[in-house]
Amino acid sequence: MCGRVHQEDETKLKGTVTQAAKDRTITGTVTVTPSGDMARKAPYDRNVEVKVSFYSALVAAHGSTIRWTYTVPANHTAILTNIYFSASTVIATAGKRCVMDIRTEAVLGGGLFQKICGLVHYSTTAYVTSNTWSTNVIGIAGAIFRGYTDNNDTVSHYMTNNGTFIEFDE
Amino acid sequence: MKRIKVKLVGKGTEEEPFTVNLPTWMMDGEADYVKKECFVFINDDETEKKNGKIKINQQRIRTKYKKNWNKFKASDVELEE
Repeated sequence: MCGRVHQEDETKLKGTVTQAAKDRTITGTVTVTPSGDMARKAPYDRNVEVKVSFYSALVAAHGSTIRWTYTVPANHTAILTNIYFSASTVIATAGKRCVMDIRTEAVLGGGLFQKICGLVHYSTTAYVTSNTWSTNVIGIAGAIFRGYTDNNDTVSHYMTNNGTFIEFDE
Repeated sequence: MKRIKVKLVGKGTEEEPFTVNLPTWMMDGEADYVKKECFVFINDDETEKKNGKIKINQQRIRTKYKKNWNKFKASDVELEE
């Protein structure tokens, strides 16, 4: 017997072979094609799109501000990777706190988003602080990622908060 | 990406940060915290052209994101440039 047989037909096939084997010998090859989860394509074969969430600007003191939001579309999965933060100023500062971070929704109560990575800058001089993260964070359909900044210093800072999303079919 | 002017909401606190009520967007430059408005970039497929102006495509956002966005109203978010 030759040909391709789906996994769901395997039980029926075995029954037929057992019955038939009483009367004659069967020779040949049975190929079982994986189905279900085993048959799924890899993420890079599922209509991949790359989306960049990017913020970079000279900003004065400000309270907690979301600079970008990325929501995973329905029927999709996304991987957050290549995260980059930096903070700098062109003049000496008072050294108050500047924060850049990326958060995702979590069950913390009060609608709070949990921080997954970030950069805190306290420099008292004209100085650059930067950080790159290449770790992957996976988001299922409906998951929300947000890029935040917060400047508590007395002078403006260049603040950057970037993330790359690799989006593909669920 | 298309650039549109939108409402800024929130109080700048940890519990209520300043934000924009859209599923996916990126702020362009600094926000105007006094007027409570800012410019954002949104995906091309989430916009449409109406009367020669770029507007949020409300229906596309509802079907693309579903869940919490299936009753989304563009008029609650966007501002005239």
